[in-house]
Amino acid sequence: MSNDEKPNGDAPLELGDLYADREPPADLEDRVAADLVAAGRLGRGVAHPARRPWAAGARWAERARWPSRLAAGLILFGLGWGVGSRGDAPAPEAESRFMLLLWEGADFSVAGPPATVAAEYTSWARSLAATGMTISGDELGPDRVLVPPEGLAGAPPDELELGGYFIVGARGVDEARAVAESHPHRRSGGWIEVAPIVVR
Amino acid sequence: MTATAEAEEREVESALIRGVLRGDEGAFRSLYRAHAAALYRLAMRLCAGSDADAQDVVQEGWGRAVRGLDGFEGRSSLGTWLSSIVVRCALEHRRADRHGLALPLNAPGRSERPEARLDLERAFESLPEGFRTVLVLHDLEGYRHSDIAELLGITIGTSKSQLSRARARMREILGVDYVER
Repeated sequence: MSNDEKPNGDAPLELGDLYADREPPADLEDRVAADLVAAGRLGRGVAHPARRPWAAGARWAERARWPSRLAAGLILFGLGWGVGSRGDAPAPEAESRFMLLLWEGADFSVAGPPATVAAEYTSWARSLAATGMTISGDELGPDRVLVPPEGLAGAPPDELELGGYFIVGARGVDEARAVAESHPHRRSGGWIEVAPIVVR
Repeated sequence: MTATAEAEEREVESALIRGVLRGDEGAFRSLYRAHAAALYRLAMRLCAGSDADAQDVVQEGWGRAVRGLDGFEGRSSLGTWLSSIVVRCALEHRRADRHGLALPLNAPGRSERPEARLDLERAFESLPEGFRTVLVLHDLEGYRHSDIAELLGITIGTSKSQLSRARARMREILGVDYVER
């Protein structure tokens, strides 16, 4: 039986309908998490969320953005789907490598459970691989130091964190940008930085 | 769900568990959100619709779950394991607060809810405590009578008898519109 509203007598009542339309209060998650932090179960060895990781010498916080990390790393490789898969299609010509960095700001909010979101990201990557495009991804570990470039002028928005990345093979920056524009991360409010990987 | 999707979901869940064991709050929040609604509703059922008691039970349940997460061996699904913790918390909460668990017949917002749901809730909440518990554990959570007997400290015969009488009372109150799940 659906949980739709139904007038008396329209459909039989099932015990499974009992409180089925009740949701936990929104602040319960924060209270539970705060209890666990206070008990030392969460946040061990992790700096308070670093919202400005680009500051000189700043240590990246392990403030996991699980769906994108899992999609970029665990799912792609943990289940045997290979790095740099090209499927059966021939390799594109004159291909350079680009890194797609997945940024998440204050407005970033994934829709659905982690497995669903991870599956969406994975599906995106597999669909590109099926066209013959080189694509791989990895989870980024927490122990990172970001060194700012010399003469840094103009900082990124304060509320961005790096959640993961993809590396794609593309025939130039325009194609790499088009790939980034197709990524579902953007629909969740995430930012994507496109940067060429220099080969010397 | 396909076998591949199930494998991916288990893999995600395992990664989240490892994250929580490392103390990662983000991983915990992802796990919480995946199970929050089901655990809250289970607590509501075991607390006879008392939102305040259900929240207490869920909060205590998550605390115990995280403390015991390194002992989770994956013999059952994580959801089943978490549910069993919430069940134990609810039973202990009730024992510790015999005077609590006031039935929330005039809970805020109740009048705005569909009448059919209210009928079901009122019927359920009018059952004796033992009847309600056995009904939830057996008919909704799928516990066997032997498990219920052990959890509640009653005999298997008592569990069966209470279930039978609980179902009969629900049918009596709600009439032919009530079907067992």
